[in-house]
Amino acid sequence: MKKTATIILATLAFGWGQSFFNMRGLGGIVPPADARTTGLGSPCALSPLNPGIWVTLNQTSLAASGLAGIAVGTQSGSSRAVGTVRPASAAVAAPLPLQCRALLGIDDRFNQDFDVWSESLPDTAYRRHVYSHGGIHALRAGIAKSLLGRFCLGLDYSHLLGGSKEEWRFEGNSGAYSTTDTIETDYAGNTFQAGASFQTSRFSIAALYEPAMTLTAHRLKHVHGVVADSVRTYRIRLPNVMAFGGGVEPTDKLGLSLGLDLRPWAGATLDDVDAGYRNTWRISAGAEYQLSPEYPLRIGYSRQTYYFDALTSDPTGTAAITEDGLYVGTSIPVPKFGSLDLSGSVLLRRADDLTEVAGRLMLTLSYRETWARRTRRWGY
Amino acid sequence: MRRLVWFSLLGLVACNTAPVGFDQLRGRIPAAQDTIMAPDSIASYARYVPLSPADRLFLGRDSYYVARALIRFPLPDTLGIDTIASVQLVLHPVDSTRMSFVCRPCSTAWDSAYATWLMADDAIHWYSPGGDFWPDSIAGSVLTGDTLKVDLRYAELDSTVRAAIRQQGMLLFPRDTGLAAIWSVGASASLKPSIRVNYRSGKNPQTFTATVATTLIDTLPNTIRSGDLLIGPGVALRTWMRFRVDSIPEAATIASAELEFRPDVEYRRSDSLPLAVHGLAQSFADKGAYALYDPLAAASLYYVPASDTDSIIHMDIRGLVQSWTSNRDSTGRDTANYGLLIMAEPEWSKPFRIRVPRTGPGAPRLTIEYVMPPEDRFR
Repeated sequence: MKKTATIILATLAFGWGQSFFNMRGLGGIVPPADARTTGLGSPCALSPLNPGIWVTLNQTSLAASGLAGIAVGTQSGSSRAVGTVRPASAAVAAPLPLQCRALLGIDDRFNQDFDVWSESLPDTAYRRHVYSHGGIHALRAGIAKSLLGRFCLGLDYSHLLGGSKEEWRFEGNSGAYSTTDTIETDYAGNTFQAGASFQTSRFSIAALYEPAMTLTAHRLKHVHGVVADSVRTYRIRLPNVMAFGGGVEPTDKLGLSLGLDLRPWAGATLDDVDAGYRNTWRISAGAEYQLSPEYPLRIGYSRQTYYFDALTSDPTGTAAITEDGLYVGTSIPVPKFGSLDLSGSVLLRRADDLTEVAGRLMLTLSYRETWARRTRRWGY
Repeated sequence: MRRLVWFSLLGLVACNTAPVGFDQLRGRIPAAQDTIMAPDSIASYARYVPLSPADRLFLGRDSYYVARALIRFPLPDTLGIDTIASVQLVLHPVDSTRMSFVCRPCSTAWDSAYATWLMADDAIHWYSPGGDFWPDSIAGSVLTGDTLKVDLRYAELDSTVRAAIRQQGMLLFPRDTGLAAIWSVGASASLKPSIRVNYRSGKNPQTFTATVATTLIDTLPNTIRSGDLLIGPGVALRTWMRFRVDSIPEAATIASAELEFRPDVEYRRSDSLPLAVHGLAQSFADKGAYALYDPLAAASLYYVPASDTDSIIHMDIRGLVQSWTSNRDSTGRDTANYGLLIMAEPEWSKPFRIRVPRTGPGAPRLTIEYVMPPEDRFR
C-alpha cells in the first residue's frame, strides 16, 4: 500500500496541475500555507505570514507544510480531475533578546499549475494539450518586537521569485503529439510586510499591510524548431494588500475567529497599462474547540472573489470567479517534538459554466518544545 | 484488490482528457493549419558513386546491371617464386547464387574511395569503362558454397603481370546471368577475400587478406528513359524535388510534414528497399547532380513492396521542412530550401529501382501541419 501511495503521489505531483482557474493573471492566490490557520478558514492576518503575530515566543519554532489536492472541474457536461502534491511552506521563528523575534520563511504567493486539453476542432482532428508548472514564491526575513506581553509589531522583507513553464503540445491529424512551444517565465520582485497584533487570553486582533510592489516577469518563448527564441520583459505593478483578523475565546474550550483580506487590485498595471484586474476581498470565519486538552478541532469557512475574471463561453464575455471553502482541522501532539497539524478543505469555485470542486489535505509538521505548555494564540 | 482499485482510479483520472477549462486560454491559442502541396520542381539523375564502404561485392550481369569486383591484396614482392607450390584465391559467397567468373589482373592504379565504373580515382578515368585489365585470365571458377578456393596462376606469370597484381589488384568478371555477392573487406576477418600461398619446402602457408575492394557497377543505358523519376542504389539513381514553402510563416512550428508517393518497383533483388530523404545544401539548378546534400538523412525507411502494388510511401520530414521555413532572408524567401533528394541508403545495398510517378494520385505530395506560437500569459 505504501508503494502504491508513493506511485500515486508521485504521478500527481509531476503529471497534473492544480486548478482550472490558474491560467490567467499571475495565477491563483495561495492562502497561508499552515494547517492550523487553514483549519480556521485561512485568515491571513492571524497566520504566521503576519510578522506581527508573535506576541509570545519562548522557543524556536519551525514549521514545514505540505499540500495534496485534487480538483474536479466541470464544464458543459464534461468533468475532469487534476491534482497536485507539493511542499507548501517552511517557516522559522526564533526568540531574540529584548522580546524580539527573528523570522525566516518561504511560502507560495501565486500558483500557475494547470493542465488542460482542448476538444477536437470541428473540421480537423487537431487537439491541444497545455500544461504549466510553477508559481511565485516569497523568501521572507523579518523581525518582530513584543511589547508589554500584549502587543507585537513586526516587519518582513520578502523577495519574490519563481517561475513557470508552459508546454504547448499539439496533436496532428495523424494522432502524433509534438511539443510545439515552451514558454518559460521568471518572476522577481521585492516587497515589505508590516504586521501588528494585540492579544490577551480571551481576545486578539491583528492586521497586516503589504504596500504596492513591482514584479518583473522575464518571458522566454521557445518556439520549437524555429531558430530564434523570443524574449520579453513585463513589469507588473500590484497595489497593496490589507488583512485584518480577530478572535475571541468565550470559554476555555472554544475560540472564534474572523478574517478579512482586501486586495484593491483594480489599479494593477501591466507595463503601465491597466491590467484589468478587480478589487477582491476574502472573508473567513473559524472556530476551534478543545475536544481534549491535546486535541483541538477546528472548523472554518471562507468566501472570496478572484482578482481576474474567467472567460465565458461567449467569445467576448468574462465572469467573476467566486470561491467558497469549508475547512476542518486538528493537531496531533508529537511528544518531545511538537505537533502534526492537519487540515482538510473543500473549495467550490465558480465562474459562468466552469465549476471546480477542490479537495485539499494540508499537513504541517511543527517543531515546538513548548507544545505541552501551549497557550492559545490565534492562528499559529 | 485494493491496489487494483487504486490503480483503476488513477487510470480513470489520468486518462480523462475532457476539454474542461480550455476556453480560459482563449486569445492565447494560436492558429493551426494544414496544407498539401505538390513539388514545384522535380528531376531525376543517375550518378556513379564509389561502393567501397560496402561489406559485400557484387558480381554479375542481368538486363539492368553489370557488376565487377575489384580487389587488392597486400602481396609482398619478396615472395620466393621458386618455392611456391600454389597460390589460391579464397572467396566467401554471401548467398547461394551460382556465378561463374574469371579473374584478370588490373592494369591501372585505383583508389577505392573514388573508384567507379568510370573513374579509377578522383581525377583519372579508366581507359575502358568498367576497369582496365590485362587480357590473360589468371583464375576462373564458379561461386558456390560458403567458401570458394580458386587456384591462381601467379608464380608462372610474367614478373610485370605479377607486379600489376600486387600493385593494382585483380578484377573479377561475371560470366553468367544473375547477381551474386561475396563478402568484402568490410566483413568480419574470417570472411574477407584472401590469397593463400602454399610452399613446396614445408614452409608454412601464408595468407594475405584483401585490404581494399570495391564493386564497379553500371546500368544498361536502355533501362533508363528520359524523364523517368528513379530511385536506386549501385549506379545511384536519385530523385530531386523542391516544394515552395514560402507561404508558411517563419514563426510557425511544423507539427508534421509528411512526404508521400506511390512507388512503382521496377527492379529489385531484395524484399526490403532502404530509402532516405536528404536535404540539399546547394542549388540543384546550379550544380545539378553534383549539388551537395546533407549527409544526415532527414528521414529513412525500409520499403517493403506490397503484393497489391498499391502501397504508399510515407516519410516524416518535419525537421527538414522546419529548417526551410525557419531560414528566410529579408524578403521572406526560404534561403535554405534547395529541395530534397530521395535516394537509396546505403547506395551500396542490393540493387533495386523504384519509379516515382510524376502525375496522378501516386505523385509526390507534401502534407504539412503547422502551428503558430501561442500568445503570452500577459497581454
